[in-house]
Amino acid sequence: MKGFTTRFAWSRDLYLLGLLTPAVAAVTLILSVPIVWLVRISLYPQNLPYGLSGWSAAHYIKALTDSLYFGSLARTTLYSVIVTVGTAIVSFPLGYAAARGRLRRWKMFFIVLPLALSLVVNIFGWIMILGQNGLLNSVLMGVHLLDQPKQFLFGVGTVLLVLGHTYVPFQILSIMSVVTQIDPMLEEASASLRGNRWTTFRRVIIPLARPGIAAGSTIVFILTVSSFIIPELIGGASVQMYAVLVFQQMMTVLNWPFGAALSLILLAVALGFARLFQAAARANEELNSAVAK
Amino acid sequence: MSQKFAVALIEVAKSYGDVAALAKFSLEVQRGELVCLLGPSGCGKTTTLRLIAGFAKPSYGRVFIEGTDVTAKPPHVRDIGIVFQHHALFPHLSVFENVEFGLRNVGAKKTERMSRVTEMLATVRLSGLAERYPRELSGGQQQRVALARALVLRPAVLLLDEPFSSLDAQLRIHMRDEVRSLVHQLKTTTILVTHDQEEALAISDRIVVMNKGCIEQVGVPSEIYDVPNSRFVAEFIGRCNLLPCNATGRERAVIIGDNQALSISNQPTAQRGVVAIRPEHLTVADGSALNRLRVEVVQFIYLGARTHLRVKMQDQNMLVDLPSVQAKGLTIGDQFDLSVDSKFARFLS
Amino acid sequence: MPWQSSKLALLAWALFQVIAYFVLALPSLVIIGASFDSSSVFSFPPHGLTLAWYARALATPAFTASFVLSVELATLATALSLLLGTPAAYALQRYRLPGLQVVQTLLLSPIVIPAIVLGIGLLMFCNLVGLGQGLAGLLLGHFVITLPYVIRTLISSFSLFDVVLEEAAQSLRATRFVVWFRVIIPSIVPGLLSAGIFAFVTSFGNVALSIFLVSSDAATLPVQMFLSVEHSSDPTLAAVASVVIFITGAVVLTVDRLAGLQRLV
Repeated sequence: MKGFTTRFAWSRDLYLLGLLTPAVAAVTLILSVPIVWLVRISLYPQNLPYGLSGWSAAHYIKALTDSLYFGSLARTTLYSVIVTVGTAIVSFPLGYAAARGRLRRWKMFFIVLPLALSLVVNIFGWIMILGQNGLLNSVLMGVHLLDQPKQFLFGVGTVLLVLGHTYVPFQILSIMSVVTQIDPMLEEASASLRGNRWTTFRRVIIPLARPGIAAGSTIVFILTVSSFIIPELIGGASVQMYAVLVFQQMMTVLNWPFGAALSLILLAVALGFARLFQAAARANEELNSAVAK
Repeated sequence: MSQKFAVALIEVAKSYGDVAALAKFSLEVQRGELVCLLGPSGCGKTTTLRLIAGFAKPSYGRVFIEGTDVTAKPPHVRDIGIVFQHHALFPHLSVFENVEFGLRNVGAKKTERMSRVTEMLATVRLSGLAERYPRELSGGQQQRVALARALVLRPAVLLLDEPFSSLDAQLRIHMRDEVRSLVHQLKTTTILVTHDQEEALAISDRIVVMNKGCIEQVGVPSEIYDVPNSRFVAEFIGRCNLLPCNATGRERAVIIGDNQALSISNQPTAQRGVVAIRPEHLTVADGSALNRLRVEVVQFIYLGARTHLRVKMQDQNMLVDLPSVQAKGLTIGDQFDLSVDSKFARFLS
Repeated sequence: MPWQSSKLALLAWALFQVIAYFVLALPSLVIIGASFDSSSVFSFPPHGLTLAWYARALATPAFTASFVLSVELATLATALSLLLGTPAAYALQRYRLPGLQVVQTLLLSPIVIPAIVLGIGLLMFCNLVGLGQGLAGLLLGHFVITLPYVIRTLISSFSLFDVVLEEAAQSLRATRFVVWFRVIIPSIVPGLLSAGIFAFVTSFGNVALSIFLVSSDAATLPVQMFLSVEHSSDPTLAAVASVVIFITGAVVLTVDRLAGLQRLV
């Protein structure tokens, strides 16, 4: 057996390299080159997709000073925070009940299906519910709360609702994941120490579930702050979410350098918030590593 | 309900669907007593504990704690303290905060919490570790925090669910003695669930032996050991030889096998049954001894101060536990006589 | 903690959940309902049932062609992700070396990068290298977003597969090649299948990234639907959307059968 061990040892590193290289090389190439190129394009002075030369930071200056774009970024960030907090609050009891309660398989199906479903399908469904000929109007007119169909689409409220609905499964799953790791005996221990339901939630479950809340919130925030498909289809002119503006610059106006600058700013905001949430989660990570079942 | 019992279970039974976890029984625990619920896994001892704690509701019957009917009450309003099998300390709270947890829930003021927690930590000898976190402590220390946390509330009854099973053998012995002296010192009524009969014998005031959802026998340790009243109890506690026998019609006498007569301590309750004799009650017969059994040595196990012999009597196998001085000179194949005092031979049906 | 709550509280809790799950499913239910409704205006209960919209959908070349493309693309992207992701996931799960955490973050990072940034980046990259819009660019994009799911699922699969079995095989003179194909792969088949299926459905339904990479003669189904939604609310679209829902639903159920959805958590 001696030869076997030695052979395993020295060729291990090459083996490791061989296993990882294809994937790493592919991903690095596909991610880094476009992003590097994106940075380069954002520094061209022109406003066109071709004939580019020279260096300029003008697009960044415009992006950060023009009230249309900066204001949109600020508003979009605010909307994202609202959606993130809203989904977190709704998801917590749902995630907890799914982790602890019965019918977990069914619940998982209903949570995962909207996740796996294409965005457009989801949006189309909401259009059918909220549109002028839609479900909501039919119901409201049917019970005589409305005389005429009302346009429920195209407003901030609608966009936030649909964003929330689309991304809430991420929060639910995240919380479910972390609650499953919390020993149910801790809840019994709390009860044996005169803690009622609310106390147990507040002093035991929520502190221990923080990493899950952070992880879920990170994903939801990033997805919401960068979403453009949803606001594009049901937002209308009044909503003006940031990524929609980026989309317009890229695909309609064809001002690629400016669009590139805008999108990189978005990337920075998204990653910045991700780091923030991770830092908050890490503080609790160490505690959770000691949760033994 | 009379208040002289700390805990009373009146005619409780528990089933999960069709499965009966506990058959109907009643049990009373005196104030200040340390009672062990002892039995193999699945016997219903943990179920009983959970009924007292409130994590399960009895299908039938009532539960009383200090005279109050708590059958319908949830756990957090019952006057109990629990130490769980794997301690269940809150990982995100320090030792101090863990012990303080219950006091905060009942609304104790900061100064009172401070003094009671500090006092409790001193009692369990963990004073210097108040700011540590559970993951930084050893198994024994964690168990002591769990004890402190439960006891600081001065509950009417302390419940322990196999609290030492996750500790290693030596620590287990040490901890059980500590718990014994601690609850004795604080005069706390204690109910401890265990499958370790040595543990139960060592620390209980009374033992409740359970099997398959029923109570087999309740009594003080010496009673349970010396006077088992069923085969299960005889075999579960310590080691016991069970020799098939027939009643002879004569008072307190049976026949083992074809012709071996034996006088025993109790009257046979049926024609056929077994005689229970503990290995250490068998001695090498001297000339005048009565109750002789002729046996042949099959195996010889020397253990220092004692020697265990496996012997055959007719076609019955028996275990004998002798002081090594008595077993000297015996080897495999030897035939000799054993004798047993009739008060240590008991008929069980 | 059922032993702690009053009957009323439990009832309210259950009701809350029922409403929540109903709302989660509502858009899908509405679409499916509309796809069978004979009238093109919304009405409940439906005036009549029909399969006409499905027939129309099948007859619309834009939809059928894009469906085919989506399936092809998803298959290719999944195959690529499985091929490259399986060994990578193995390396990440089995070895505990310092640099590997960084590698793992890198390989899982496409999930964190906003689709719009990635889409724009790839668009300009393809333009730069002369690939233009179309299948090649789409494949690159879809590969990079399905890979994280594959790796995550397989890391979890490998963690459940005891390394002792590999060591036993090696002690029985099996080379690394043999260990892979006769021990490892057969043991993680459920994981491979569920990883592959999830990669497939992620690629199939992707719109945010794809919209930047499609060309006029190579559009994926979701993008085609996006364009249709923008311009009309024809019930034919409901039929198409229902097909997507059925496929996705079937896929999710299959993953549940194979590996249990719990494993994703």
